[in-house]
Amino acid sequence: MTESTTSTIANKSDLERKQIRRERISLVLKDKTFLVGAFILSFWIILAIFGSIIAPHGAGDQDFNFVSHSPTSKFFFGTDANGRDVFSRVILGTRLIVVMAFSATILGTVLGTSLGLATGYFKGKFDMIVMRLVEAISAIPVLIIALLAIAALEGRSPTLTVIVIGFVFTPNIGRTVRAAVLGESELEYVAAARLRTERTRHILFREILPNVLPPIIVEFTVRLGYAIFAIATLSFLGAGVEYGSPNWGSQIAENWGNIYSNVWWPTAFPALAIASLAVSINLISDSLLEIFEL
Amino acid sequence: MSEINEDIKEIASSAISRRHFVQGAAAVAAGAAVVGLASCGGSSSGDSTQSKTLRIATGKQEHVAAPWETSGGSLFILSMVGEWLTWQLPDGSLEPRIAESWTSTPDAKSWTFKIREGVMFNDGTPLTVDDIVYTYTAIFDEDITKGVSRSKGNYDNILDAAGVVKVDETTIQFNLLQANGNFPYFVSSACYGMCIIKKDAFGGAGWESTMIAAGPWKMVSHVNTESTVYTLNEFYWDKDFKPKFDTVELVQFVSAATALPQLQTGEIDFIGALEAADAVALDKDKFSVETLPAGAGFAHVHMRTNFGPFQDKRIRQAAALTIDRPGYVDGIMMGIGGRVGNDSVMDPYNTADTSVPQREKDLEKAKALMAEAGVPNGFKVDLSSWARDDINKYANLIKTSFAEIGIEVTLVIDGSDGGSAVYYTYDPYPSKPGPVNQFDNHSWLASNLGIVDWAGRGVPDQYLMREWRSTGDWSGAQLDSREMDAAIDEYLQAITPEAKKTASKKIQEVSLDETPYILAYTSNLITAGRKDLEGMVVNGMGQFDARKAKNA
Repeated sequence: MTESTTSTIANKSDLERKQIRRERISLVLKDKTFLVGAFILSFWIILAIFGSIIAPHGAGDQDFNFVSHSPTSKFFFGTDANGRDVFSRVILGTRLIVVMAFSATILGTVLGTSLGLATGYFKGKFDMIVMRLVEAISAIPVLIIALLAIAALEGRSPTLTVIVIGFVFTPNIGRTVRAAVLGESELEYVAAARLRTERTRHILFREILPNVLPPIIVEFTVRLGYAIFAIATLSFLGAGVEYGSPNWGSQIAENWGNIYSNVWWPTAFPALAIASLAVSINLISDSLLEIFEL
Repeated sequence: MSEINEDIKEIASSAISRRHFVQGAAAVAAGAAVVGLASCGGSSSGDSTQSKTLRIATGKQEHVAAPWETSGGSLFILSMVGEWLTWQLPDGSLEPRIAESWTSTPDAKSWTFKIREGVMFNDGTPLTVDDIVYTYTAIFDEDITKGVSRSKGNYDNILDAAGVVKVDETTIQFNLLQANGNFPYFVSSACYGMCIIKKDAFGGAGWESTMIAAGPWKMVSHVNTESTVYTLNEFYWDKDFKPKFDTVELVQFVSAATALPQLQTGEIDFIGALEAADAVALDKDKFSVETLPAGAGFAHVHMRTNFGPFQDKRIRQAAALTIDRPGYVDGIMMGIGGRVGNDSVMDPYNTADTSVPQREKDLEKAKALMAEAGVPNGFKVDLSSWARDDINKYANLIKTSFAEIGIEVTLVIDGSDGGSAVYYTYDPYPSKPGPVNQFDNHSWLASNLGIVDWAGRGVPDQYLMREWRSTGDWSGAQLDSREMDAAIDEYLQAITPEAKKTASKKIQEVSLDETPYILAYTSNLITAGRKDLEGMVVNGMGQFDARKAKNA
């Protein structure tokens, strides 16, 4: 192939990619499942950003005259056993879980994508060794690894939890990306890029990466849902965040015992919040999976 | 001597007057009527329908259930198998057990106990004065205890091995290092690790595999941190003791709230301690709820006086001024969980001087004190403790209250993951005057700010000895005040109620001035059981006496 031929292939694939992207965006915007999921997710993101303005009370504010009080016009979601407003704590807990879940998933996606690109592109012994390690790590349940890591590091900070979950997600995302890269690296446009003596970094990130974005996006949304559950579960177990923080998982841990005293509201509302956030992300994920035909 | 006994009786009668039931008499009468009608209707009741096992929910244990090791949680286990010279009753008074009677010299420096004849260990061997002497001398001998004796601190400056003397086969004498008018409490179940063990037995870890002691019950099986099953000790000295249950099982729960569904479904018969909110929510027709004062027991907040950000007493005073005590007691504790405290262990006892002014929330004064101390904008500090329903709530109160003067508290609650006291250790540090323990957020005795649980005693002596005196081995605040030490010694040695009250006032005043601890409230122990379960007795320590337990 001459240089002009390789350039034509690259331009053609670029045009095709743009066309496909436009079609997919159009499909996504017409998909009701996606729109419902996006609407709910947007609601929580808005609360995460403006929660401190919206919440009528502080997360720790105690009203000793309203202890374990059922929902009223003053306390929409009632109060907990410490006399704290459940409505405000749910709102103020949004930021923590949303930021933590997105951060952990972004970290896992960046690391996993890099790993998948490298192993899928270079193949050979490097791929074999890394993938065996990835398989070994993937065999251990995510929560067990996260709990062990947090316990070993004696840390309860949200940052540490984000890092641990991000690392734990890396192998799974890496495996998905690797599978996609293995297919792409055999295609003409990659061979053309090699002929143009493009640098490996350029081939990986400018040529292959855009073409494997759909599975990465879907994997990101799937992992985001897992991250929400993982963070909520770790918080419920007391790992990851400060005791008494308005984190949704912590709220459930603090209050679930009171269900037996018919005080259900401090547990039910954070649980509903977790469920709705996770469902919204799953709706988005399902929609993308269908549209990307994965 | 009579004055001393009068003093103890006075303490007891005062406690009785404070004791109250949550339920109204009408509800109890109604419940009894229902039971009565059911009986009249021919429904089988009484012995024919007796449950064969009495199941009791307790808190989680921290240490091995062995006399030299025991601390929070495991003391419940020991209370069933152990027998002490005297036993602390729910009203705070003492009941003779292995000791039939006791007398002291007029100066209260020497105490003589007459030992009951015919007392036997649960393995069928007789309990002798030699066993008692061994129990009270071994704890001082590190070669015997291998360095593990949590009970030794009870007797610091009070008793040493040389003071324990066998007079004859039924008499033992304790010659004290200093006078003490409340000494019978030092040989009672309030010193929960001092149940009588066999001569030459090792009372440390391992003892729990046999639990050879002289209490009314004998261990059948014991799973550490889970449950213990007991049956009748057929060698028990009180031959009138005829249990109505074949076995008794103590089951441990991290949170009493989690035991509630089991109580409601009949899996558990009795809960040893629960939160006011849970108690209030129980169906009064099906369950009985009782409260009793726990002396100065339960959660004490310490602020380290010799290290870290609370060294300046003005900061400690400021912190104590942020707390809405009546609000917490009426709101969170629903009025039945305790009474407003005044930052002193003397407050719940009738020897307390009520003329000492009550500390109240005063944010302006608190902020002024912080400014005077050079920290007008506050500081950050961790609060260390371990998870338990009441401690969790108290920790939240401290965090919210301290925030009002800029002290940003991070809660480091160990066991909030369902474990217990792994991170927050109870291991003693040598808290003697002089040495400054290295800061350690993992330790009750080396953290800057923390909460620790104390069982409820009938007299304040042990709190004073172990927590407030500069020589105390369980002094979280590590207060080193000559004024406090002198006041404590005066109280311990006082014989008449008047002298005790005078000393108490000094302790209360120094407590408020130094503020090494915040005691925003003094607790009531709240228990709950099946309505038709009668005769379950729990004292302020949380120790069980199930000898008279039976179904109505």
